Amino acid sequence: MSIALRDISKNYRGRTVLNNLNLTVCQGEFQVLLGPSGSGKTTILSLIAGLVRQDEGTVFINDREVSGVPPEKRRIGFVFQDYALFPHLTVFGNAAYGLKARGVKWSTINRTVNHYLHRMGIASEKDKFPHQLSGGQRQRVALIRALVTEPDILLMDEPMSSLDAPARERIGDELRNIQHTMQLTTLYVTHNQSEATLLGDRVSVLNHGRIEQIGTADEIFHHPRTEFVSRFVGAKNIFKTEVIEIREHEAILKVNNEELHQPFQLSAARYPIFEKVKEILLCLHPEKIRIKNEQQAIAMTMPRTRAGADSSPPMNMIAGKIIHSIPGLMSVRVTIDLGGMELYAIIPEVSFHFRPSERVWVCFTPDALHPLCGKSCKDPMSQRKCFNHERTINAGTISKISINPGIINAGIINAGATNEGAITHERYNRHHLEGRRAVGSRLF
Amino acid sequence: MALCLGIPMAYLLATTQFRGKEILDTLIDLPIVLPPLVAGLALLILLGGNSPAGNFLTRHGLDLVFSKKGIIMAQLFVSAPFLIKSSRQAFESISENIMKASSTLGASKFYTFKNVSLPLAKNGIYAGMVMTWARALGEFGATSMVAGCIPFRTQTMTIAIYMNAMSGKLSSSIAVALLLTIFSFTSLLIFKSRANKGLGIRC
Repeated sequence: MSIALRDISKNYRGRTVLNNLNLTVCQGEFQVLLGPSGSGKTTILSLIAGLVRQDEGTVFINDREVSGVPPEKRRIGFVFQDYALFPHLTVFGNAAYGLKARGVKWSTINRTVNHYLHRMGIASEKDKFPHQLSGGQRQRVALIRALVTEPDILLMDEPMSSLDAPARERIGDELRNIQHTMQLTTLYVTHNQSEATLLGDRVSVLNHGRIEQIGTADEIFHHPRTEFVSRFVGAKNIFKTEVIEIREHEAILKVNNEELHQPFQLSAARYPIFEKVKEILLCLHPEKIRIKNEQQAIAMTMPRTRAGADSSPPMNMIAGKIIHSIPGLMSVRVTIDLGGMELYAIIPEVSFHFRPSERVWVCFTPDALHPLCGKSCKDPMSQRKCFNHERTINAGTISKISINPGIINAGIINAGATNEGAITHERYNRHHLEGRRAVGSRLF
Repeated sequence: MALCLGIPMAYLLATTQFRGKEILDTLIDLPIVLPPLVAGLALLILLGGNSPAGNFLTRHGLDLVFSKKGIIMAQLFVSAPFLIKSSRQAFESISENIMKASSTLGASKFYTFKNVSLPLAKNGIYAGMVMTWARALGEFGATSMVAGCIPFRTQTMTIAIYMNAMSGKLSSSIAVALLLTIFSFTSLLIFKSRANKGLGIRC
């Protein structure tokens, strides 16, 4: 079953919650809807479930308009943020509720519910009541209750928000396995970026009732298109720049953020958008920054002897001062003063030997900068006008993704290996893992 | 009667929005604040033989004034609001997400009411029943107005206590009062023990 929301608007007591929203979830896809609190995520789920009615627009399930269909007829499974377990029923009673309400035979109910309880590892708790369970156990019961009726669509409203990180990862993996096995069309709503990376085939970012960007987790986190998406995913270094010069492989831009005491220039990889606009926002990813002391910086500026080195674009090096640093699991989150403007960097722990107030050089390649063209964009990167197709992409970067049952096909360009698309689920999971590490370290 | 009429009304008030909801709610609360004699007088005027409603009821064989049916009507009028208020609060305290969860699992509105709302509102309904019962038992003013105090026909135990005491038959009055006390105490005990059984499940 696919889901489509067309031109949906919804107001609550004069406040616009959803504003001409368009959203599609393909058959068998696991899509994550990411957005801050109050952005309309729960309202979208409620509209699809039939729990509320939109003011304008249409809701389609499997290309059939369902605006007048009540929730009990829509064959959806819904997992609520607070789980909404029936406190007067046992675990078994909760799980069996949907099948009993539909008049299914008792023997079938018994067999089906016990199967799911065993699968989720909670069969031993079946006679307990919800208040006797832990948070993780309640979450499993809520999931079982939604899955037991074998719905066509699964809707999940921040179901793991009250779980600790290990429980979240464990249950997330189980959820992914079940969803993949059942090919269940799933829309999962959260404000947590690591869940988006862990779970989603595609991620939609919601801002003030509209989708700002949709793409794979890799695209969202490493190639945000708007300032909102960039800040939301933790790429908080946003430069306001003016295009000065466009060269063969790079562009020179002047940074003139208001808070800067003195503007400076940057070299960025060449994007077609630089030829179209005079001013543009650039985003600098925190994990692409390197910090050097005076001697290391001087060594970097010495002429290189190997062939071809002089033609490569120059490294950006900006003087700054460490404000403070927060150690993490394997990296350090550093805040640096760049003459009035604060810059955020994520440095591997082994490379960080600096103290607060120490003068340093902030270094990053032109490739580390990414334009925020300001348009909400739903096209894949290879079809975007602002994406520079001549850029060399590291092997394994997914540029295009389409969802097919069982296998996820990805287009890989300039990988240096074969250009054929199909990759197995194991390789896709490896990309998820790399993205997960990047996102996990970026969360300030 | 209070249960049959009161619970659906309480559920409606708790779960739906409609125009005039607050007016209906105030009308239900009115008998609680109105002096019982005033309530009785109002009922007498509204349902007496000379009123349109009274004529309609008489034509259909329902003589409320100065009859046992009148006792029931008067007591229903003054005590049912307690059940409605208590049940409404109990229904309102059920989390909205639980009701939504029930409908997303394929349950009809009636199935949800029977298997979710009623069990979860049980304690509030029991509490309302206790208060309704207690109020009806002790009801004097409205009952005496509507049903009269015809001995052995429309005389409740409460009215009997008053009438015997006023006519000097103190021993009869005390006897009836004692009976009423034992009866009230036993009823309350039964109600409370049934409500406590429900508390064991409610979390």
